[in-house]
Formats: sequence, structure tokens, C-alpha cells
Amino acid sequence: MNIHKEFIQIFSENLRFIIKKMRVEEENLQEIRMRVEKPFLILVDGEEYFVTENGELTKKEEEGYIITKQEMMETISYITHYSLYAYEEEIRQGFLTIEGGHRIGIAGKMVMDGKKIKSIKYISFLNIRLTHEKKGCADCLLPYIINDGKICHTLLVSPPRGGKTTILRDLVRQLSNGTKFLNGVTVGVVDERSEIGGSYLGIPQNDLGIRTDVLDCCPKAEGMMMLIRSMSPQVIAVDEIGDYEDSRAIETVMNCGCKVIATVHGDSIEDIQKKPILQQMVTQKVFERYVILGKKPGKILEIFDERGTRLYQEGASVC
Amino acid sequence: MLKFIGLGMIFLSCSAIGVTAARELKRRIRSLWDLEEGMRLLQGEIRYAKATLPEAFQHVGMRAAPSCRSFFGATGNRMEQLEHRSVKEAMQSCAKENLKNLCLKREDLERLYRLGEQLGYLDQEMQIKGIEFYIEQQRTARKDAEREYREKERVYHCLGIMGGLFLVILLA
Repeated sequence: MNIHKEFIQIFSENLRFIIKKMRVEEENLQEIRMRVEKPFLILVDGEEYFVTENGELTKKEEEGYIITKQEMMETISYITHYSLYAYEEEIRQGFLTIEGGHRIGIAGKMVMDGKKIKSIKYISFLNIRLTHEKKGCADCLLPYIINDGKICHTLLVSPPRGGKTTILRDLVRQLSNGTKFLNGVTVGVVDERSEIGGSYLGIPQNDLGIRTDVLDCCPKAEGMMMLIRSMSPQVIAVDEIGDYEDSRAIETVMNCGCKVIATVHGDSIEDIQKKPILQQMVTQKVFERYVILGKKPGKILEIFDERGTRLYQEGASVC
Repeated sequence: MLKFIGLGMIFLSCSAIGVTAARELKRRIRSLWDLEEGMRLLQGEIRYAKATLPEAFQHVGMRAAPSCRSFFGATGNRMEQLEHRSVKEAMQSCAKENLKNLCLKREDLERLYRLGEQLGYLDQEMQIKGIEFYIEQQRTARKDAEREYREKERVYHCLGIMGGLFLVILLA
């Protein structure tokens, strides 16, 4: 398998051997799923496969390599560089980001401190999501979100795995570096779950452009206000907005003359309007562009303006 | 004439053996102290910076006593490369390569490896307690070594000189 050595090193020795033998290209590999005493699973181009002990991909569950508890512990030890204690905060959140920007989701037995989650013990489930930079995937979108040389407040709407974060990342990169439509602008990214930048030790592992400042692992609402106060961005990008705090922070940001590009889970404008806070934002015409993505990663279905006028529909010529 | 030169050399050699033996005791004290100081720095890295073990070891490798800098640095690098299954393995392998110049007994190395077994286990408090325990043991070992040095320094010097004199008299 054509994959970085540093990435393979996070797995236990047996699994390193299996992964090296897998005939999968890194850019096609989306997820690696590990569950104790369950078969080793990977997701390639949206298709799920079991991996045999010889690294072959199969659809037969019984041929899948069974992950042992020891292997899980060894893998966790490598993921945390033998320092589980240093990742207490990340573990409490249920995920951590490793070098390369790959995100590792964790599940197991929760340790509670009153009503708060203290930690997770007996970590038995791992979901390793590989980050993919698709440079240029937002090319077709740029003419729609830049109007008369000004960036429009934009909301990317997509179902899970629809590629909204990937498109947002490329938008940030292009706006920051500058494009043929616009000179580079200062972009502030509030990366609550380290998905946009995939920061490792505070440094984004994904290319977010030369004029981008990142607040990593920071709550969105607080982060937006901090960026406004400290880094004076012209554009603020956030992933997966949804609660009242976010909505208030976005309004404040907009009142400061800063443009907002955000993403949200959903299938259509009607779908997001079922959520009261988002419905209010749609009604109040907070966003000037709504980009609806399809289930196939990165596929743009429709683009609307704030009045609901369709600017683009799948199949029409965009680029 | 030649005989006197030979006898003089025997006397000087025996005295030098005594002095060297005493100096080795002193070097062990210094070595234990250097490791203890390194571990104190490591404890600080974990307690205040909440650094991961590879980071903490690498940072200590830049600030510890010159005699054990390479040990801490190499252990941190090895751990960062994920070359070993455990912290203990990484420490063992690096100690063999980088602590040769220190005057340590087998028991001193075993104490170090036992710390390696504990590092990385459970939470931050556990790491700090583990290192504290090691430092405590190291301090006791250093105190013992200092006592031994005080007791044996003169003995070794005298034995060297007396042994030399004895041989000179015997051969004269």
C-alpha cells in the first residue's frame, strides 16, 4: 500500500504488516475501523471491506482479521506516543488528531465524574479517518461565492461524508492565497474538532493558505469572538454550526464587517429549516449563498442566494 | 639502577590503582546525580507542560547534564519514531548505547528500566508519582554511594600505597 510510513507506525506490529500488504491507494482510503474481537474493516471510496490477515480485501466477514485486545492497546499506545495521560482532554472529547491531520475517534467505557465525562477506559473501538486534501475541489464554487469582488456569507449544506469540510478547507486555502477572482484575504479558522486544519502540536497539517490563522480545538462561538478581537480576519470559517451560541457569534462577526463561511449537516434548505436556529438564520437572510452538496463526496447539487433564487443546479455548466 | 626504576613503577602503579578505585566511587555519585537531575527535569516537563513522553525526553535531552543528554535525547527520538513496543524497551536500548560513559551499577540500570515500565501508564499524576519514586530511590542510592565513598576513599588510597610498598619490599 502506498501510504506514509509515519501513519503505518501508529498500528500494532501485526496490523502494520497487514496494512503494508493492502492493495489500496492512500487517497482512496477513507476510514479504518478497529473493534476488539471484531474483524478489521476499512472504507475505500465509500465501499466497506474486511481485511484478511494477508492484507487482502474481502466482503466476507468470516475472512476478516480479528483485532485482539492486545493489538488495540498497542495501537493506542503508539497513537498517543506512549503518553495517554497527555491526551486526557482529547480523549474526553472522544477523538484526537495525529500527525498528518488524520482524526481518530475513540469509544469504550466512559468514566464519569458526576454528570461530566472524565475519561474513557477500556478503549475498544477506534475509527481512524484519513484526512484528504483535494486541492482545487472548490474551484467551481468560487465564482458563485464572490460577487463584485466581495466574498458572500456562505453556508455549505451537506449530509455526513458529503465533503463539506474538504470543500471548506479548499475554499479557505484559495481565499487565503488569492484567486483569479480576488486577491488573498486574511482568514481566521475556528477548528473546534481539528478537522479543517488537522493541526498537530498547533500546526495545521493541511494547507490552509498563507494568510490563515487557526484556533485549534476551540469552541466555535468563543473562537469566532477571539479571532475578531485578536487577529482581525476578513473571513471567518467554521465547521458544523448548529446551536444558539454559534448563531449569536456569527451575527456579531457579520456586524464587525467580517465574512462568514460555515458548514452544516443537512440534505437541503428545507431540511436545515427544520432546525429552529437555522430556520431563523435562513429567514433573516443571514447567509447570502447556500451551497447544497450531494451524498457523493464533493458533488455540488445546488447553489441558492439569500432570496432562494437558484444560481446553479447539478448538470448545468459551472466551470 | 634499572631495578630501582622498575620498583618505582610498581609502587606508582599500585598507588594509581587505589586512586582510580576511589575515583570510580566518586564518578558513580556524579552519574547518579546527573540521572536524578534529568528525571527531575522530566517530571517538570510532564507536570507543567503536560508534554508527551517523546517531547519531554527530547526537551530534557537539551538541558540535562552533558553526560546523559544523549540518553534522554535518543530515547525521545526513538519514542517519537515508535520504534519500540514500550517505553521500557526504548529506554533499555538507548541506555545501552548512551550511558556507557556513566559509572552505573547493574542495580542502577534496573531501577531506570523499572521506571520505564511505569511511564506511560495511566494518568499524569501516575507519571509524576512514578518519577518521584524513582528520584527517591536514586537519592537513597546516591547517599549510600556517598557513604561508601567516604568510608572507602582512604582505604583504597592506603591499600594502593601499601600494596605497592609490599611488592617493592618483596621484590627488593
